[in-house]
Amino acid sequence: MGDIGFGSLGGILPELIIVLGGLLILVLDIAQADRQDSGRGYLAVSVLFLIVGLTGVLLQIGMEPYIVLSTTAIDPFATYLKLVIYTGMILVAIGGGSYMNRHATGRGEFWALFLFVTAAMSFAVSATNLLLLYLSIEFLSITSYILAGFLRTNKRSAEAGLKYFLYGSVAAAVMLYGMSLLYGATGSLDLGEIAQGLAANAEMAAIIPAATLLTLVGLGFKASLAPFYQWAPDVYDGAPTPITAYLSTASKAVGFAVMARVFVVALGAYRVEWAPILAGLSVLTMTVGNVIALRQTSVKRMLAYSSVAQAGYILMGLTAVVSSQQADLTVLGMNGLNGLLLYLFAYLFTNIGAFLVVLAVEDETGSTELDAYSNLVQRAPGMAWAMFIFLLSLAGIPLTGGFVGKFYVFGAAVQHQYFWLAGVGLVNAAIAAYYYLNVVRTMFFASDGEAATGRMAAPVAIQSVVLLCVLATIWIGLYPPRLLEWANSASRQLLALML
Amino acid sequence: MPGLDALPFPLPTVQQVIFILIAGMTVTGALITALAPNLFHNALGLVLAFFGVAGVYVLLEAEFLAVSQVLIYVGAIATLITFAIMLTRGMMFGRTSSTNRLMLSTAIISALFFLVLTGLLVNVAWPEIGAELAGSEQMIADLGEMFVTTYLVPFELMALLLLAALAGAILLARD
Repeated sequence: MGDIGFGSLGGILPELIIVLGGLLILVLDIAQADRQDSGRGYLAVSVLFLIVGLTGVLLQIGMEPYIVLSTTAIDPFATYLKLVIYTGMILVAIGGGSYMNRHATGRGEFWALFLFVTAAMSFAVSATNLLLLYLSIEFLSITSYILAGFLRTNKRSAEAGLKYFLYGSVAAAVMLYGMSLLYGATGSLDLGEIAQGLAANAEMAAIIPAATLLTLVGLGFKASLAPFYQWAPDVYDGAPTPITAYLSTASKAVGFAVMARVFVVALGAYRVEWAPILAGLSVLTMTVGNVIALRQTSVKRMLAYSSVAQAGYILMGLTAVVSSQQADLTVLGMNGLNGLLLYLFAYLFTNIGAFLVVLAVEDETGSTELDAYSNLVQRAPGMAWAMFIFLLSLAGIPLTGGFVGKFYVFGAAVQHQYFWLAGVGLVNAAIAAYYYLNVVRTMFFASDGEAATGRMAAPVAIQSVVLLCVLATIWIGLYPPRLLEWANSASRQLLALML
Repeated sequence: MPGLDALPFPLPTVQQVIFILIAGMTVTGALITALAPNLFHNALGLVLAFFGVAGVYVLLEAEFLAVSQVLIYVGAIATLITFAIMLTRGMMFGRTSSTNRLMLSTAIISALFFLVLTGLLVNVAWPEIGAELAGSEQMIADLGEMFVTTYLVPFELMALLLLAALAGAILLARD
């Protein structure tokens, strides 16, 4: 074990910085005499600390993997996901921060919790120990419940917080059953040691299906997979839109990352058992999400269901980790996991951008219904075109980031002989294109011009973040090699840990 | 006594009798928690179940855990729940119901879940892993050392989680 010096904390410096930022804001808020403070300063401090954290993570790119304090891995996989998380949180903070400042009571608490939830996600993706993994997921969940219900005067927001809490606590309890089975079978909480313990004791194979399913309940809840998705539409719809933006991207990415790490590292030897379960969940998730999304009249709720459906596509990547030919996964161009990682990054910019457009329209018209988008191209051409690109990316049209993500997960599924899975995925993508393009039709070709009076002025913060998201979406769509390289090294490193 | 040897089942040891009593108490408490119509009785049932779990810990020679269980769950959490119920008029005097139309399906699913877990517990040859337990004082010392070495990050994260939960709870409950 050795002594713990300050040097050993170097690996988790980004997280420490974020946590310090949160504590600083709490202290500043106590010292603050003016109760009517606009909260703009907290926004600036939060963005500053997040950017410093992101810089710290960028410096960790390309480092040799190592373990800090026996529970936290600093490896390419965790670093890649931290990039996703920090980038997402920065975009949400800049784009949605002023909305939260205007509507929330307790701005100091909001920004402190916002930084804490970032740190929690960051720990969750690098945890190699079931205890830390559970704790950081709980931390993420509990903070998210509070943030989802943050607008106390808004009934929908309060409902979202409560529903999220009730559903989440049951899911977490069920997940603990799964984890305790793994612990009982191997006597260790460390993911690598669990894999070794399971390999050494063949009799323990009996608990694998139960442990897999039970653990999957908690992780599937975070990633909003099909049988555990019921909270998602109500929470995404009711929560303040900036919170929805991070719940549907960064928090979902954490769910997938933890799932990938647990299944690949701890249960990798049993992938033949769990891959069919994941394939089934994937099909169920995308179909349910898409079919219900078809009937939504609110754009925010439609995006919520579409986010469930997207989780189904993303899960395809993890399913495809299991190859029917026993090829060496680490040398394959499409190993499934890199598709999952690419998808998460592309989806981050696309979805945050889309929710910020929803936020701008909601700010102006007070509505998230489809009617509010009628002839948006005349009121706010920039927003309408940006939304157009985000919807194309969500539908997976070439030249956008969404296409690259879909290409890699579908490609991996085909390469690993999951033809039926890829087929169902394609049918679903076609269904999804219908409701995405329906919004485009309303924005560009609405027949009644009554709503089309006056120009809509979106705040500069939202405009600039939306522009950034558009550029990133197109950049990933046109020129992904750099990102692909990161995703490849991250996925290879994790797959190399598979026994 | 020749009669006792002729019994078709072995006589339980003292420890087993105590375990059965404790388990009975825990299950009774849990049932009260889940089924009693009055919310306040639910809370009291929970206290009983917490005590039962502490008893199981004692039987497993985890005295420190048992004491913590009593201090934290019975002493703090249960008291807090009781206060929350007593301070909420609608809960204390209003009509609350622990059943709704999903009662039957929930019961069936819970029963199946129980059967699966029991099946696993009984049929799997669980390995005996782990070092011999140290003496009770040494065990607490080891536990403390683990908190600041191997499990430092989870330990500190837990502290932060409590802070965040506290700040959030005050914010959500404040008038």
